[in-house]
Amino acid sequence: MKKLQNNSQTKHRLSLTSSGVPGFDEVLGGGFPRHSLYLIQGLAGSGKTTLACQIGFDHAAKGEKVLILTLIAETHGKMLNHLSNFSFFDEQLIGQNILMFGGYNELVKGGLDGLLQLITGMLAKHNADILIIDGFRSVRDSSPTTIGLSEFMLSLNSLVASMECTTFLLSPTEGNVADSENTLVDGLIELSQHQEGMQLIREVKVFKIRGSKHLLGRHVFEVGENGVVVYPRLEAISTNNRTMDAASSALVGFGIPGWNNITKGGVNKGSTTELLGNPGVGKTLMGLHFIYEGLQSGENCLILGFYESPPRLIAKARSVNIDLAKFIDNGQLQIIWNPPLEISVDALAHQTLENASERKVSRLFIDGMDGLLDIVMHAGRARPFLTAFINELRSRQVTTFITRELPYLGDRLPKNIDNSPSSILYENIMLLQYVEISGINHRQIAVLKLRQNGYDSANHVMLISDHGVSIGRSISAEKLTQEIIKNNALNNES
Amino acid sequence: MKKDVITKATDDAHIILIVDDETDITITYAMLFEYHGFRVSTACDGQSALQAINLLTPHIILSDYMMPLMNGAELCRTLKQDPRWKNIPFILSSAAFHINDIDTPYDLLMQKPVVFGELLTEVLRLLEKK
Repeated sequence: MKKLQNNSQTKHRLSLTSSGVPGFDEVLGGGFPRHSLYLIQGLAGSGKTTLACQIGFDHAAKGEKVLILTLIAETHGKMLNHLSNFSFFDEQLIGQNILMFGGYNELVKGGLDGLLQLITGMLAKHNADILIIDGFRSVRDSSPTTIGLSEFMLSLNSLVASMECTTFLLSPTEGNVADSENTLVDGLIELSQHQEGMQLIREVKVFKIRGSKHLLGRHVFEVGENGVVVYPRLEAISTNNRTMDAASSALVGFGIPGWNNITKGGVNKGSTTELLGNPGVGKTLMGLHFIYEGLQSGENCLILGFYESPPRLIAKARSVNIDLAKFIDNGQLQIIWNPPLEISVDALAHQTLENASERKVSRLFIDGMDGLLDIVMHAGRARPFLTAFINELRSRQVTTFITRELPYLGDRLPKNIDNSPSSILYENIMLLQYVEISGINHRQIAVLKLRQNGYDSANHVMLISDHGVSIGRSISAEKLTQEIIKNNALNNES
Repeated sequence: MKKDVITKATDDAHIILIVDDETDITITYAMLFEYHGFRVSTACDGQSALQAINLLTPHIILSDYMMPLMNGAELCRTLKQDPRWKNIPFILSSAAFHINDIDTPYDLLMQKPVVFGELLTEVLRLLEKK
């Protein structure tokens, strides 16, 4: 038995090339296996040309040769005009590393053989690294026989492999159907749009990538001034990574001395705590105390908010003697704020996790879980998304406080995401409620759940003054009135 | 980044016989070698190749190894035993990592997928050597 001599090819057979599109390589399983044939499909306006050209410009900027062949598609001038709006566009590359050709005439005159000959000549002459064929649907529209089309696809695949040219075909189609354009390519990627009510989001789905372990399912992407940015679905990443959190036994305080005592020092580092309570009961203030304690210890902190804008939040903190502004100025504190309208939950989660990693954030305060859940568009996704998000935060050792609203009226607990209890998701749950005594609402706080043992499980009075939140002693409902009267008297004296 | 394009071999008008049971391979290489100035003849297995050789004597042969009816090793041995064809350079290519016919008198063995640039370099080298 004789071993082949030129095995150097074998080790390169599955080497990957980066797409140059933020987030996309993670979906692809590391990048595109080189020298393969890919079909990028999607209906009009789905972003095919932008995505492919962004890949092309990225490679051209690295000195590689990129050919763009158009069949029936927008003219080269129009295409360049549209692309020039993106930051990746570099007109210096056009005519140098990026060459554009039209192939429709050859298709009309010589059929698929003519087109294949044109492509062969182009690749042989220019020795391209990347080939993009836009308007590939024209190949099918030229009415070839079924076997003729299959032969063409097979030959094209073989050609680009032989010429070491990674090739992208762009076609305005949808679905993973058994046509040769889909079956005889090495990778099939679909761009689509998902509509929920009046809102529309862009999604990318990888049906197949031969030689790569890609992420299954749909992933959201956005098209902005930098071109396409893909946000790999957090649930898929978390499932693949299976990162274990360190299960630290170190404690992180609430920033409220009385409550630290009652909870025997606070919550575990890296854990997640839900502050569940009625509107106006003091959830946000409690979260601000938690953040402030971290800032005063020199930690980096992050607030993710949906309703109260940063100026309002800073003013609110200042009213209880918590000065956040100086920590924003010195960079210890950042606030990510978005009204829960048409924003992508995937983009927001990505931004939050990236911020936490880059700044080594130790405390995160999410003010308004309801806001976060409101922007999860797909039915049934809230729970797995939140599970993945919290897992990612845990793996980064970020201690997280999350507020969740109880109804204005009545004392029933809210239906949690997908009607499942919070206890599975959160290590700790604090319940902040109003209790009515003699027609007056008073605040009370209790521990519903705390991971470590040894906490005082009784209800406690919760007071809010100019110095923020403080905790009164444990009392029964009957004694609450006396406690309030006593504290009011003390406040009047001071 | 790739190397520069290899110089064409148009002036010589060499004839290359490409033998492969995979149509896409013969179509692709035929077009590429034609682009580089070769005259190309193709066959889908060893037996067809023998018939083609009798009609048009090639200057060089590129053959797949695993083919129906007569494989590339058998074709190579047959030709190398015939005084009329024994001096024709014979490139054997295979998708397998190993071939069992260790005594095959080929001039060069290449593993598929063969990058065309490397193949062209070897073809030109063997023709020059001849």
